[in-house]
Amino acid sequence: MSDQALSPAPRSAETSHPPLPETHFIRPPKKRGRRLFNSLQPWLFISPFIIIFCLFTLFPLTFSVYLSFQEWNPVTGLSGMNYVGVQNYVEAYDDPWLWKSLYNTFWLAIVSGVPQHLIAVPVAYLLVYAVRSSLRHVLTATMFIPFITSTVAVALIFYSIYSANTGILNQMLLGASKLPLIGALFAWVPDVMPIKWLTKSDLIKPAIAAVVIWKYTGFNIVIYSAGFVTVPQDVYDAAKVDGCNRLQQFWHVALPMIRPFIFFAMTLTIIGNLQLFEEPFILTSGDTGGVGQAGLTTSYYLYLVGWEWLEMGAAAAISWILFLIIAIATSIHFYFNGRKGMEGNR
Amino acid sequence: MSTKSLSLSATATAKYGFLIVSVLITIFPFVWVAMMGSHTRAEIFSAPPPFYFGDDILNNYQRLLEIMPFWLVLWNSLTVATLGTIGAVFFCSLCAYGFFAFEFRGKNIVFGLMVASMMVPPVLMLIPFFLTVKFLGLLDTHFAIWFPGVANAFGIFLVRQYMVSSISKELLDAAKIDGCSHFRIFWSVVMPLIKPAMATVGIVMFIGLWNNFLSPLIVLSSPDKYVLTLALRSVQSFANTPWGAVMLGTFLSMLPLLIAFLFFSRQMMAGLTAGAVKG
Amino acid sequence: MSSLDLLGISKSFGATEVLKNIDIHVSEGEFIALVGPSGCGKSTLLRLISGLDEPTSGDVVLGQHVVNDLTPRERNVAMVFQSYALYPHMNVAENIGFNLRISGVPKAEINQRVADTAAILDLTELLTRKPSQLSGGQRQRVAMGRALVRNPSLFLFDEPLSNLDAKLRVQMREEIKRLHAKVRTTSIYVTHDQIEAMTLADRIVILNEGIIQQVGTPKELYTKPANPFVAGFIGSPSMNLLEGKLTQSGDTIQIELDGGVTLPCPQTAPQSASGRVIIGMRPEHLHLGEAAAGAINITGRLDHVEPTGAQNHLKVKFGKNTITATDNTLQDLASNAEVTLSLPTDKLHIFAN
Ligand SMILES: Nc1ncnc2c1ncn2[C@@H]1O[C@H](COP(=O)(O)OP(=O)(O)OP(=O)(O)O)[C@@H](O)[C@H]1O
Ligand SMILES: [Mg+2]
Repeated sequence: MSDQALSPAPRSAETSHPPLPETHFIRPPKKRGRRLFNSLQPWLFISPFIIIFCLFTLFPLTFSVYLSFQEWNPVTGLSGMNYVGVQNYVEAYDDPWLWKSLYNTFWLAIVSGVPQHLIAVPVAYLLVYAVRSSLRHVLTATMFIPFITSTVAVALIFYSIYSANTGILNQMLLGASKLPLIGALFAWVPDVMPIKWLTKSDLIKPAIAAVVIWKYTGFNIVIYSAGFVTVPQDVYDAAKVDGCNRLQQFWHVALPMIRPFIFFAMTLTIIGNLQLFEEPFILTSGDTGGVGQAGLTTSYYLYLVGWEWLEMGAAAAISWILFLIIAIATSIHFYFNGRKGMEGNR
Repeated sequence: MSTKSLSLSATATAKYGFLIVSVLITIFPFVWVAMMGSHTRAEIFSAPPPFYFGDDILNNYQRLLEIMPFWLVLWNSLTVATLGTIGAVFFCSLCAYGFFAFEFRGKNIVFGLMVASMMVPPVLMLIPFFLTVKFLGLLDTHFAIWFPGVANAFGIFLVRQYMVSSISKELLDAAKIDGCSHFRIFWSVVMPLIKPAMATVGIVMFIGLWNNFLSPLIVLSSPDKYVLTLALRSVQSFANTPWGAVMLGTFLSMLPLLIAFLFFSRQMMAGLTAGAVKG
Repeated sequence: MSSLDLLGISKSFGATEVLKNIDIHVSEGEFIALVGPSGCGKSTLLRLISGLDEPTSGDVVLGQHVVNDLTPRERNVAMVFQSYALYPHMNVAENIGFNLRISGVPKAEINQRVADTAAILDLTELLTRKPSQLSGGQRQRVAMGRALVRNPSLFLFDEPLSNLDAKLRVQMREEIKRLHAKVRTTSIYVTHDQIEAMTLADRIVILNEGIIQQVGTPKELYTKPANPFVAGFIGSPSMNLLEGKLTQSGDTIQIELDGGVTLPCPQTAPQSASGRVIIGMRPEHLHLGEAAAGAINITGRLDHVEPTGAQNHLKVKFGKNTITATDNTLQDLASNAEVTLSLPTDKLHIFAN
C-alpha cells in the first residue's frame, strides 16, 4: 500500500453542484452615492439634536466661559467687549451681595427642601397602605396639582395671600385668636399685626420656603407612592412574622426598600432648590431681592447683574460659580447617599 | 364598644384627618384665587376678606382686558406651547430612532454628550441662551422660546429607552425586508409603537412651555408678544394693582392645564415623574 | 425566483471573524437547510444574503447579478424570523399586506393576494386580529404568510419553528414542505434541528464556527460524513466517535483505540498508517447479538439502558470507552451483562485526526 493511497480525505467534501465560474456574473458598477448616503443616514436622523445642541448648548456654554473673562454691556454690541482676566471672579469674591445670595440660596434650599420629604414620605405611606386605591388616586392627584401650576401663578396667589393688611393669612390668624378654645394659642397675634410676610427681612425667606414646600411636596408624594407600591406585600408579611409593628415595618422595611426613590427625589430637590428664581423673584415683586436682600437667591442675583445692570461678563462668572456649587453639592449627595441609593432593593 | 376598636377608630380618624388637612392646604390657594377673581378691589381689601364667591367677575374681566391683551397673550402661550410640543414629539422621536436603529462611529460619544447635557442646570444656560438668541437675531420672537426645546436631551433619552424596551431589532429587520426605507420604518412601524413615550414627551413639553417664565422673561420685550406668565407678572407692579383682575387672569391662565389634568391626571403624573419611576 | 451563489463570503465583527470564506451554490427552486450549533453564524449568513448586513468580503449573487450593494427591497427576498417579528400594531391582514403596500401595489390587488395567502395558511378567520391575540402557531403562520404573499426571488427562514411545541412543529414542517413543493421558490432554511433539515431539504449545508463543514443531500451527509463534526452532528442518537491510531503490522492494518482495545481495519480505509484517527460507528449499525463473521465485533459490558419506547439505547462500556447502540428487540438485559456488538465493516467511518 502506497503512502499516496493512505493520504487523508479532504476535510470538506466537494459540493454536489460546483459554483459557476465567476466571470459568468454581472457586476453592477459601484454606487458611491449610496454608500455615502448610508453612512450619513444615522447623522441625518440625529441632526435635529446635533444642530440644536451645538447652537443652544455647546457653543453658548463655551462662549459663556469666554464671556466670564470679559467686561461686556450687551447694549454696546460685540465690539464693546473688554478682556478683564479673572477680574469678574475676583469681584464676585468681594461682592457682599453674592455672599448674601449664596447664604439665602442655601437657607432656602434646606428649609424648603427637607420638609418636602419629611411630609411626602409619611403621606405617601399612608396613601398607599391606608387608603382604598380608587380614593388614593384622587388624593394623590389633588396633591399633585400645585406641581403642574405655573410658578408665576402660584407666586402671585401667595403674594395676595401674604398681603400684610388684607391677606387671608393674617386674617385667618386674627380669626383664630378670637376663637374660644385655641384662641389662647394665638393670643400673640393681635399684638404683632399686621405681619408683613413679604416686606420684613426675617420673614421673607420662611414665606418663600412655604410656597416652595407647598408647590413641590405633591410631586414627591407621587414619587414615593410609586416607590411604596413596588414593595411587595410578602415582605411586610415576613416582617410581621418577625414581630414588627406598623411603625417598625415602616422604619425597617418600607423606608429601606424605597431608597432609590428617596435618592432620586432628593437629587431633584437639591439641584432645583439651588436654582430657585421664580418664587423669590415674584414674591419680592422683582425688586432687588426684597428688603435687605433677604429674598435674593443666587439665580435671582445673576439675573439682576446680567439683565438689570447689564454686566454680562460678571453674570457669566456668577453663573459658573453657581454651577460649581451645584456640582459640589450634588457630588456630596452622590458620595454619601449614592451608593446606598443606587443599590436599590436587590 | 371595646377599647380596641375605639383606639382603632381614633387612629383612622387621625390618618384621615391628616390626609384631609393636606388636601385642604393643597387646594385652598386655588379656591382662593377663584374667589378673589370675583370680587371688587374694595371687597378684597376689606377686613376680613370675603371667603365666598362675589359677583364682580364681569367687571374684573373688563379690567383684565384693560391691563393686558388677555386673549392675545393666551393665544401666544397656546402657540408657543403647541408648536414646541408638536416639534418635540416629532424630533425627539426622530433622534431617538437615530440612536436606536443605527450603529455608527461616534454614536456613543454623541449619546454621552447628550446625557451629560441633561445634567447642566438650566440657570447656567440662562446667559448663553440669551446670547445665542441675540446673535441669531431671535430676540423678541416666539421661535426663540419653543424651538430650542424641540430636540431636547430628556425627550430623546426617554423615547430611546422606550424603544429599547419595547421594539426588537428583528422588527426593524422585518420592515427592511418588507422594503421600507429607514424613514418609512420610523413612520409606519416605530411611531405607532412608541405612542406612550411620545405622549409623555408631549405632556412634559406642553406643561413646561405653558408654565415657562424664564425664557420669555429674557427673550420677549414687546407686550403684544408676551405669554401668560410674563403678562401676569408684569401687571403685578402696577400702581393700585387691580387685584381682582389679576387674580381672575391668574385663575384663567391655570384653567387649561387644570381641566386637562381632570381628564388625564394619570398620564400627566406618570409623564412628569417618568424619570423617577424608571429609577 | 432565482439561483443564489455565495462567493468567498467572510464576515467579521470587530476582530472576531464569524464567517470564513463561505462558498455555496443554490440552484433555482432548491430547498437548502443550513444547520450548525448555536453561534456558528447561521443567522449572520442569512442577514448577509438578505442584505440586512454587508459581508466584510466576498460576493452575494442572485441569478446572474452581484447584489452586494442592493438593499433587501431591491434583492426582493422574503424572510421569516425566529421571533416572527410581526408588527404589533397591525392586524393579520395588514401584517401580511405590508410589503405590498410599501411596494405600491393597488389596494384591491393587495386584498386579493392577502385573502389568497390567508386561505392557503388557514388564516382567513383571523385576518382582523392583532398579533397579541394569536397563539404561537398562528403567529408563525402569519409570519409565513408575510413571506408567501410576495413573489420573492428567495425565501429565507431563520429557525421559524423553534418557538413551537413539538407537535405543532411537525405539523408546520409538513406544511412548509407542501408549500415549497407548490411554489418552488428557492429557499434557505436555518435550523438546528437536524430532523427538520433532513426532512425538508434537498441539500444541507453544515456550518461550524463560520466554516462550511459539508454540503450534500441528507443521504450523502448520513452515509458519507466528511469529518467527525458532521458525523456527530447528523444522526440520532449521534454517532459514536472514538479516538485511536492506525498501526500496520505486516499486511494488516489495525485500529488501536485509546482505551486499549484493538479493532481490525477494513481495507477500504484510505488512511495514513501512522496517523491518529477518529473512528465512527452509528448506534443503529451496531447489532446486538452474536459475533458475526466479516464484521467488526466488540465485546463489552452493559452500563445501563435508556428506554425510548420504540427502541432501547444501550450504553456499553469497553476498554475505557462507552458507546451507544440501539436495540430494537427491546430484550431485557441484566445490568453489567456482557454483550457483543457487531458492525458491518462498510459501516465503519474513519477520519484523519
Ligand atoms: N452584531 C454583532 N456584533 C458582534 N458579534 C455578533 C453580532 N451578531 C452576531 N455576532 C456573533 O456572531 C456569531 C454568530 O452569530 P449568529 O447569530 O449568526 O449565530 P447563529 O448560528 O444564528 O446562532 P443561533 O443558532 O443561536 O441563532 C456569534 O458568536 C455572535 O456572538
Ligand atoms: Mg440565529
